[in-house]
Amino acid sequence: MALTLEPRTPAEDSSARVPDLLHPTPMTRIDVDATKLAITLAFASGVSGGLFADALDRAKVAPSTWEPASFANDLFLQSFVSLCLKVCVGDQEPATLTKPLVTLLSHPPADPAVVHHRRAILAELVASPDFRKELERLYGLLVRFRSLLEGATGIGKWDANRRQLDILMLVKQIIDCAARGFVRARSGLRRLSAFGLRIHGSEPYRSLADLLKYDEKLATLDLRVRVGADGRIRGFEILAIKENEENAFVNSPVRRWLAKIELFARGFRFGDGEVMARLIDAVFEGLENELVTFVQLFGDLEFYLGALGFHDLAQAAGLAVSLPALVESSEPRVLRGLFNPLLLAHGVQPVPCDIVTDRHDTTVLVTGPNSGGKTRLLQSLGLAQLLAQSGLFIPARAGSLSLCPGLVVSLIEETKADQSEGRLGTELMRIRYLFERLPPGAMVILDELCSGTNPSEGEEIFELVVRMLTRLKPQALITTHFLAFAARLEHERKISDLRFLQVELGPDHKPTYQFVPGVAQTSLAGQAAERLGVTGDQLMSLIERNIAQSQASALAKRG
Amino acid sequence: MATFVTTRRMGPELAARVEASVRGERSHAGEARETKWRLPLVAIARFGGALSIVALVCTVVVFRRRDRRDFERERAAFIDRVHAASASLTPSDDEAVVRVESWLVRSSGAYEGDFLAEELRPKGALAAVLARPSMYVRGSMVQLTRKTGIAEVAATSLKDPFLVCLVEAPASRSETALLARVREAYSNEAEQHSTQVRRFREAQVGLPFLLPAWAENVRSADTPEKLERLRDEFEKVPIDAATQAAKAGLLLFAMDEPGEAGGPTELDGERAHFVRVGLVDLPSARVLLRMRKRVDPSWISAAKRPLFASGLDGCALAFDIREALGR
Repeated sequence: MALTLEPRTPAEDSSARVPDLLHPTPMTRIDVDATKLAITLAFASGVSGGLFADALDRAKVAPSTWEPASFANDLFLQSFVSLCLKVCVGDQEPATLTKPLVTLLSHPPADPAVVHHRRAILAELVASPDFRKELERLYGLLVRFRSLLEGATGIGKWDANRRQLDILMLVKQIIDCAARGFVRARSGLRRLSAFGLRIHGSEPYRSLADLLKYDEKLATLDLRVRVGADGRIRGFEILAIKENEENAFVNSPVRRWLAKIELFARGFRFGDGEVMARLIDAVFEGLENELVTFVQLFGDLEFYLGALGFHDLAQAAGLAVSLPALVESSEPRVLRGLFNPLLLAHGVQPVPCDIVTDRHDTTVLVTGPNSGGKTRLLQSLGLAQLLAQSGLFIPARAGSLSLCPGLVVSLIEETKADQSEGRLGTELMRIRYLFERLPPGAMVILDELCSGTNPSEGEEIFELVVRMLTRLKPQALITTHFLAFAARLEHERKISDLRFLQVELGPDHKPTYQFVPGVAQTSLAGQAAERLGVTGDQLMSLIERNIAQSQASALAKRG
Repeated sequence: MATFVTTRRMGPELAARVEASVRGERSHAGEARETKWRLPLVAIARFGGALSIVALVCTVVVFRRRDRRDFERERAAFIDRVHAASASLTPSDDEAVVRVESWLVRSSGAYEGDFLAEELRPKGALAAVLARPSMYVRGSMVQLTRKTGIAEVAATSLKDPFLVCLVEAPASRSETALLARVREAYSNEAEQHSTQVRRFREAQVGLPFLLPAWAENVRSADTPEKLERLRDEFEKVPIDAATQAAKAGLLLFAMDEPGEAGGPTELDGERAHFVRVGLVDLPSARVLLRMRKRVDPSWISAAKRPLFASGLDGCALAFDIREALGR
């Protein structure tokens, strides 16, 4: 496919310099000088110590108002990234760099334009399998480039020039792929094309192409082969030797010898390999600045291909993901077919549910029996909000969500060896911590608030928290087993903007993992106790068995 | 700065980068900083090494040429010295040893009978003849029948009482008179009494060093070691004595026939036996004297016999010959 350089606008020129796929205004997020030095060293020695991982781990992210410490652990973000955002290229599943993706997800951009930019790219990738295929091909090339550069595969250890030429060949393929694969793209993917075309028209690229041709074809020999009566080759005759004189790197035989002697006199080794090394070095130097952007591009591609991997994972399980409509906080929250991706990642088939509230900026109290899916719902809602804020697919077939300035999640309450307070004290500290960090309009997810103390006192604190939260206009979702208390709040309606969801029970009084408006009547503790073998009869049978075993043991000792 | 690594078809930017790489300012990527300093040092080291090697080679060549010149000068001087030593020798002199050997082999064969040339018959003629330069050898007749035996005999044949007493006869044949002469012969005085006589051994040993073949040998010596070895050998050779021997006109020899069976053998090996004495004029290849006489140590007193039997017998033999020729 022939490439033509079209006139570019200043904005396109800026895009062409840095193929930043994550932001509408291109930015260089990695440390250019350090990465350049690392690439240079890796190119020379083949040992980099993981330059891609280092550069991307230290990469800057777009400004964000979210505090990762407020939600990352409770949402098992690390597990979600490593299990759900897998990159698949054909039948290959290269190891992705988890840490940069976790960093990106835990810092959703404050600027909605960034979210829209990413959503546009993802939408185009889903709509156009060709673009996705090209993006996967580009990523595959970058993976090979990384492997060769970092020496992970050990290829070419014996011949440094060969290894470097292989790297340069991959560089050319990457540039070609970027230039040719996304010319018709309408989203931010077009940047790849602009980037590739810019390099394509530059002198370093022409030198690169010439060097690779020079490596492939110094000269052409016309041979005549003489075959004997027995069919065996008896001799060769060289009819003509034609050097590839059009190539900028082809030198006359005399100059080639003089070059070797010159290099030897200058302190290099004597040989053709040293001349080639100088040429490789010169070509590499011309491309060095562009190669730095490859590292950032590698991270960007993992972001999008990881999202597409999540799309495929859900699809394979008969579920669907989507890019939600982004609405105002006063508009309804609608999530159709919401599922918990962590369950899916661990091999459990999640049951999708629909969640609908009339607006976002309300406090929703979720009640229902134990093991009814309340905590899983909170996880799903938290992850859906996080993914939507990052411009990625949410684990729901369709939906509309409102962007918020922060997220505080409290789902796990572990007993720590060094904790100084009892259960009540710990719960109170959790509440204090929540109010210290909660900005207005943020999303709050709390599981079983005040469950660590006696119900009467706990209910008082619960009511206090809910009352105070309303002043911050949060998108709050709280689960509780204080059913009577919740029913009272629903009945009295003393606190404005309270909404109630309960776990739906089936005809057999078992949870359906769906959520409907209202307050649950029972926690079904008896059912749970029966399911787990904690009924009076079962406990008594255990006691009798232990006594019998003890008596038998005593008789055996006497006998 | 131009470099042979660039080509005319390279663009200026690429050529500049290649030149920078060649200069080591921009070497294989990350080695840049290190290489910027390392390459000039390596180049300097290489040039230094190359210059050292060239200087070493030049020094070696110069020294070798000087050594060669010195060697050739020394060899030429040595050859001159050899030539000077042999300058007085004629081609005939060169064959002196061969001629003597021929006479000895011939005389050790069947005895041809006593003979006295006319020129020795006058009184005092023997002394006059013996005053001429001569070569002397005495030994076992059995050994003198072959060349290797002649060499062995020559090596052990010294100026003995027979020679001394023949050249300068004792006053009488009494044991006392003979013994006095014998003692002179066994002391350093033998040379003083016979300066005109050279041992055949001296010609045999020295003459090869004076022949053209040996000078050629010196000329073909191609190492100082070989030349030194030849010079050492030459230094040990009695050149003057050999020259004198080679130019000697007379050959005086005494051949001891095998001892008679049955008789006693003295402590010095002497026993009764016949001795053939010959005097040959070498230039004219004429026998001047051929005589066969019996010696028997039994006449010697018991006190002198253990030590001087051989010497006294030899001296007595010389006395008898002179007596036979009328002194």
